[in-house]
Amino acid sequence: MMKTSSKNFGFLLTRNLDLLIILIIFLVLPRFIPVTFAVHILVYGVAALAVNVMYGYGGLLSFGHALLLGLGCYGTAFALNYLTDNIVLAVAVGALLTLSVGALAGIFALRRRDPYFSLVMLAFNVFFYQLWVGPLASWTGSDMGLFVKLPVTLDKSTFYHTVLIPILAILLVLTKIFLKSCIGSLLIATSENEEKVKSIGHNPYVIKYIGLLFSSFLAGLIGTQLTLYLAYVGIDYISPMTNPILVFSVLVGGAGNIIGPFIGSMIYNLLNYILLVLLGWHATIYLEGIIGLFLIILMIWFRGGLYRAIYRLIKGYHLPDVVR
Amino acid sequence: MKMVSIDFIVQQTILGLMIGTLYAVISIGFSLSFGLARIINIAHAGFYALAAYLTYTFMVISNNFAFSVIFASLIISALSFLVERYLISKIYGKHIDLSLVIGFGILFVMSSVIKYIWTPEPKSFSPPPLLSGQIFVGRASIPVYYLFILIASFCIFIATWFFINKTMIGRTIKAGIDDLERVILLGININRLFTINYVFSSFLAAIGGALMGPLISLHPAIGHSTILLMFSIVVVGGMGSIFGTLVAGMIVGLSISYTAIYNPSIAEGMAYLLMVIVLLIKPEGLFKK
Amino acid sequence: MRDSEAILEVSNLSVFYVEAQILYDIEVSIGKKNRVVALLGRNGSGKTTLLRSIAGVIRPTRGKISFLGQDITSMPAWKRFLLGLKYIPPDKRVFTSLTVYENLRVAAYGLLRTSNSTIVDKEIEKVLEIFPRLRRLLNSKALYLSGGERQMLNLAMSMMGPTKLLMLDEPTEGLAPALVQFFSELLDKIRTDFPIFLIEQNLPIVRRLADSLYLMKEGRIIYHTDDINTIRGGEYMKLL
Repeated sequence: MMKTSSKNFGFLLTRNLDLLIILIIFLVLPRFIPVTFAVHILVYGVAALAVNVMYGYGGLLSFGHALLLGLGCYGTAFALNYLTDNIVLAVAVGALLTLSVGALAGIFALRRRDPYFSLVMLAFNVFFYQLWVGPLASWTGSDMGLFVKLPVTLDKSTFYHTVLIPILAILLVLTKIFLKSCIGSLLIATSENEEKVKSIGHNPYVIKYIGLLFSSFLAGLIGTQLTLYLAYVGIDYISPMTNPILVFSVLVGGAGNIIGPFIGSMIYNLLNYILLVLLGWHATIYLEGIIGLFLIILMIWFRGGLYRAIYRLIKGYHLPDVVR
Repeated sequence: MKMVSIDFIVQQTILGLMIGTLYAVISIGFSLSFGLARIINIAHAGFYALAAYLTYTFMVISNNFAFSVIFASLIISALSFLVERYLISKIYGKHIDLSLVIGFGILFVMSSVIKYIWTPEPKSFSPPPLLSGQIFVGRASIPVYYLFILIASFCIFIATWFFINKTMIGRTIKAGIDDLERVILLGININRLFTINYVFSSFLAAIGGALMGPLISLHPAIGHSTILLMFSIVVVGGMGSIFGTLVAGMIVGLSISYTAIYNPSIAEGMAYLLMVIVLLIKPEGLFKK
Repeated sequence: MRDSEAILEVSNLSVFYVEAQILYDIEVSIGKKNRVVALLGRNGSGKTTLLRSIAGVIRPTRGKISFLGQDITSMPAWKRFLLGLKYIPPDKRVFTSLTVYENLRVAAYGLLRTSNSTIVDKEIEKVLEIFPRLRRLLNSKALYLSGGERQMLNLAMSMMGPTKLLMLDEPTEGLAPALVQFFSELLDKIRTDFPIFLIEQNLPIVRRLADSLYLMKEGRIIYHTDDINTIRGGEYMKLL
């Protein structure tokens, strides 16, 4: 084992290379593509990371995380439009809303074994979505979305570099800390052998629940930032149809590691872009089918996602299998 | 509180029972796939949707409802055979998430195929003249087609019950749901069993879709909206229980139709609320297998 | 012993579970001259894993299994039982939502490859002769059977159709003494028909029935004899 006393800069650097790569990529991205595009890759990347925390480490695949992303977006929107002028407060409202719903969903979703988790999360997503376009339509703006009153006008590019990137960095570090912490290790252990974890005196339900809370926090927080950036919130972000994007990102990019979801998000957005640019707007309706094909091929042939495959090519051996 | 007439309640009851039993027919296969092969067969919803569209096309061509329904269901069954042999069979015994993901993958591909062949524009078709029109129960007017579906669904259920409980294959499936490994140890070819189970399940989904066709406006995402409803019914009824699925279907159907009396926009949400309640009180379903 | 009389030959068998090795280079040989071969060892020594590997329910990482001269290493499990290789799992496993009669019919459907009532009922009659207690339980759901009755059904099912080798995994575990006696006598009776490969923790039964012995410890075979009389009772306990 490495000596923990040698916490010099170089050591920290090599251990956290993946975080650095992510940050550098996102710093550089706006030079090549429109900032808004980069923002979407970033946001979906973090949301996919949230899914990955539960899936790649906790063994539970959520089909309803769009709900958590969306609540972060809408929470902040509601706060700014109806409650306050304080941005920090608005962000807090968004995060809190997400956490509360996540906490509620967790009570039901974690009651039974894995497959139920996926679909119960989806059920919650659909339920809230129906509330959003149904009884609550006048507050949420339904499919038209809501324009958000920002107290300060922020230049998009400045916002990206001075707020979004640092927040990304913080979230990445927090995730790393969480995963390496006691709870994180217990989460991984629970996904591999729940009985063993029980036998050493821990409560797997609580462990998974805390995992879900952290996952909700990630998704919700990045949602708040998206609203601040766009000064707008749209129904797509809370729609259940967004979940396949997140799941796709996790599976294609690679579960069980931090960089995977971001690779996946990039690939998805790239695919979307290619279809849009090369074939025109009407072709994007087939994006779903292409994703479907990817998912099928992934499940049958490539089990670890692209990141793992590339890693193997470069290093010549398998990444240690956290899970899946 | 809105004042509702008795006729309206009767109407909604029949509607709820009808939609509930039809959804139960569709959900049975979903339950069987999980019970036997331990897969969450999301593709099921895709077969349902494709069957509805195929029936639409056959109706346009032939205007013969019986032929359309049967032929569409047979084609979908054949398709499901291929899907099972070449895709689903690759993930048996692996982690259950794989089945979930691959199922969605298949559903998305089917949805895109539908968009390509039939375009995303909504389509609709009517039931045949024989089954059109209304009949009167008291002062409540009930579409003849509703009653037809109610009767047809019950018949399908009885036939399914017969298949599962009175034929050797059916009993073997039941045995496999109880203890799959023990069935293997008796020399039973489980690959063949899985295939038969899958095709049978898909056949039911297809018939459900075909019969549902005249009731809804067809669009490429009709499969997607069925998934949760199927799941709700199976959660409420208990995985692997045929009788449970039927009763759960009726319960869910009625809760939707009665809620619609007061507020149509949250009617569907009611089904999910029910599922959530059952998950809280009796997670293994009302009729545990 | 590698002669054409061999019924079961296991060579070099190794089994891994994820990264942990459960079985190390197992060699087993059972031939016509063996009657009852006992497999002893502490819990966790790999006995059940060995039997399950031979049955085909577990896939070995290395090694070769041959039955009646045929290499069955890559044969799907369900096919093996049609050759006469039978594995009766522990824990008295039966199909609880079916009646006793239906249980037997499913067994016949698999092992006899037929649903012809005449043939099936004849075969069922044969096993009912061996387990008369099941006769009056034919229409009861297996769920309501007692432990002993379940075990009878468990055995009855797998004994349908021709049997060339019977592998039993702790058949008397958790049974009342009268039932233990019953099964012991039963095994004594059928040992003349085919060899029995038996995992048992009940040493008196082993002493009474077995003529050959394999001892397992931590995934390896540490002792083997074809004449159980060459080792005295206390001695193999010491080896374990």
